[in-house]
Amino acid sequence: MTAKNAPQVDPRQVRKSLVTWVVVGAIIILATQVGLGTIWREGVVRPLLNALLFLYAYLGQSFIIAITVFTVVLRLLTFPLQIKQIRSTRATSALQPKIKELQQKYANDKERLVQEQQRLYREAGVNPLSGCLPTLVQLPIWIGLFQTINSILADTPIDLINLGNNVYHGFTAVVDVIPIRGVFLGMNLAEPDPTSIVLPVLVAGTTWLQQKMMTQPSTDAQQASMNQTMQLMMPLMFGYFTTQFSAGLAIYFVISNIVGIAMQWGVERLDGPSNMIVEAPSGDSRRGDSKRKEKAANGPRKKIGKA
Amino acid sequence: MRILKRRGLLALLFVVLATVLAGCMPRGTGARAGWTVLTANDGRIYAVLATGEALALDAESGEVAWRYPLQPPAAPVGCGLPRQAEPEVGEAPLGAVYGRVTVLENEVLIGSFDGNLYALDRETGRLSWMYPVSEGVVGGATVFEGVAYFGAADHNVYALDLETLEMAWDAPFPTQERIWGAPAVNEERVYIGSMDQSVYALDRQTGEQIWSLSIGAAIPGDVMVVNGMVLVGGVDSRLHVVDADTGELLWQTERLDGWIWGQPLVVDDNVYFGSLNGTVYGYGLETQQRLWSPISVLGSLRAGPTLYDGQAAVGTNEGRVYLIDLEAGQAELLYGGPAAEQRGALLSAPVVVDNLIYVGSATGSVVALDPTMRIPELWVYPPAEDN
Repeated sequence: MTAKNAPQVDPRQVRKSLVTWVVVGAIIILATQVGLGTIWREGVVRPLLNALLFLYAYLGQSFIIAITVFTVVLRLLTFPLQIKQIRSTRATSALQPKIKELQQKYANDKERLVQEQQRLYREAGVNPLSGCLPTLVQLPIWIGLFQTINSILADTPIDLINLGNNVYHGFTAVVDVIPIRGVFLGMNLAEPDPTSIVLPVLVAGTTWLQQKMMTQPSTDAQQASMNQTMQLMMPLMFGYFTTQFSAGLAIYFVISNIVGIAMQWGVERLDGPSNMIVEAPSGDSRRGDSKRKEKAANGPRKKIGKA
Repeated sequence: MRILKRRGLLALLFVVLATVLAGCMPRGTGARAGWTVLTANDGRIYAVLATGEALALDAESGEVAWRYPLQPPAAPVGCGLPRQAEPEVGEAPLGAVYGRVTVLENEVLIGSFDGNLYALDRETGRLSWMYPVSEGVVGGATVFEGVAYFGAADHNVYALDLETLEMAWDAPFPTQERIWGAPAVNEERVYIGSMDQSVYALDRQTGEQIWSLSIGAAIPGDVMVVNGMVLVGGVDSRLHVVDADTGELLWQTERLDGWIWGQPLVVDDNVYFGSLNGTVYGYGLETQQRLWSPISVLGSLRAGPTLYDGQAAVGTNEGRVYLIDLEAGQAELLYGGPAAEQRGALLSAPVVVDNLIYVGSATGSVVALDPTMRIPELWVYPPAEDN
């Protein structure tokens, strides 16, 4: 193999891969040594439960205030990831015309098409998968919250056992606040919305709005179609979940969505509409690299003209 | 057309996913699971399984004498979606049951989280009557001289005349919070703990309050009266000992390592109890001193110990049964292992009949154990082929 044909190794990618494998390895070792259940309980459920209880105990013993502050704090903690997701989505969207060009150009050479697409993303400083990261981070939080909210509101003895088993022993203030008062506007937050309409509509509505704001227009018909489906199905799915889950979790979804909408709006105000021009890659992938890198260094926030 | 097909497929996938996920999650009271509760009487084990199915089993053989409802509940579709339309009253399972089964001369009383006190015929298992209250009956009923006393999640204490099926008091006694424990009753008084952090003594005839004492922590379990003392466990991880006559706090343990929920066991002026953190304690009721160092077992102890041949039998939420030597303060594992773990948590107190120990698991099994055998498992309901 000649030096010319040798694959280019990006040291940053190598570092990232190494870190990823080290993290995966650590999780596997931990899982085999202490068990996945223990990791889940100690790493997700107990911290979430005690944090929420702490807020409840010290913020006027109002579950609504506690869950609101909890949601905002969680959103702030994942703020950098959220911003990254929003900007990544916008940047990916802005690259669509170029992607389409590449698809036409390399319609008969799939391997080359993939290479060129990857190069385009790399040069623009965009990772199309990075948009999934905040969602992936939030997924265990959602599942953990589902368990946590049921335990905290402790509508049944089994829920109260879970609460008793998960409260930190040193957290003595909890003695004064149990049982938690989980009633809001006459609604038992441990039960699904008794109207089966108000909260499902609120959840579906805010999910739809957030989804709509986050979805960037796509020139690719297939992508656009997929976006439209997601825009419709996600709110419907979450709305349906709300008819099944405790009202407390539904309220978390609503507040979380509202904060997400505000963040999206803020980023759009800050960055302006997405429309980035990236020089189309030519046949020789190495030609003009320095120039493209210069543009990529400015990142997706470099915008030329309005949409 | 291809796009439309793809979108349709995706939509279908979402709907299926949403349905399956939602079906896996509990919704509302009807879908809530209880745990298996047992009572032994006259050579029979009366059990209510986590599914709400009530059974009378022969204590020796494990054979079913009767079951309620007659047809076992239909297996759900997927996770939690019912297969059939809601059955009629008298054919439906009892809902989630957490409290003890009270066996009377002709009837078996069962309190359910669906807000009813059920009476089943003791010989046939047929529904004799049901008494509805506005919220769940968690702790079970205590019967004294033909009156069933019980608390409910609607905050009230009830006294139901079993002859007339009418309230024996002018009105239920209201507390400030849910009542999840069963009362202790003697000739004169009814003692009960509430989640409002107080223990109450009521006049048995009138339901009027004689005294109340705030222990500063919610009381989720039963109270017990022994030697003129009311024993109450709380979520403050203490056992409180209260003068039954005056309502004065006599003494309380230091803060232990977990919530005290189950009813204690009292033997010879000593009290034994477990904590949710999986520790068994022994104290002298008069000396107020620990009898021995706390004993750790694997799993939470939700329910109290049961006396077995001078030892205490306890079940844990890891599905294990331990025998505690009350003299030496040592635990010996009687029953455990993968099969026991698979049957699930033991959240109700074991019962003892003729030197056999019976436990009910959260997944709806009743297991008979003979501690004298090398493999103590005598029989299991449902038998293996029915699982």
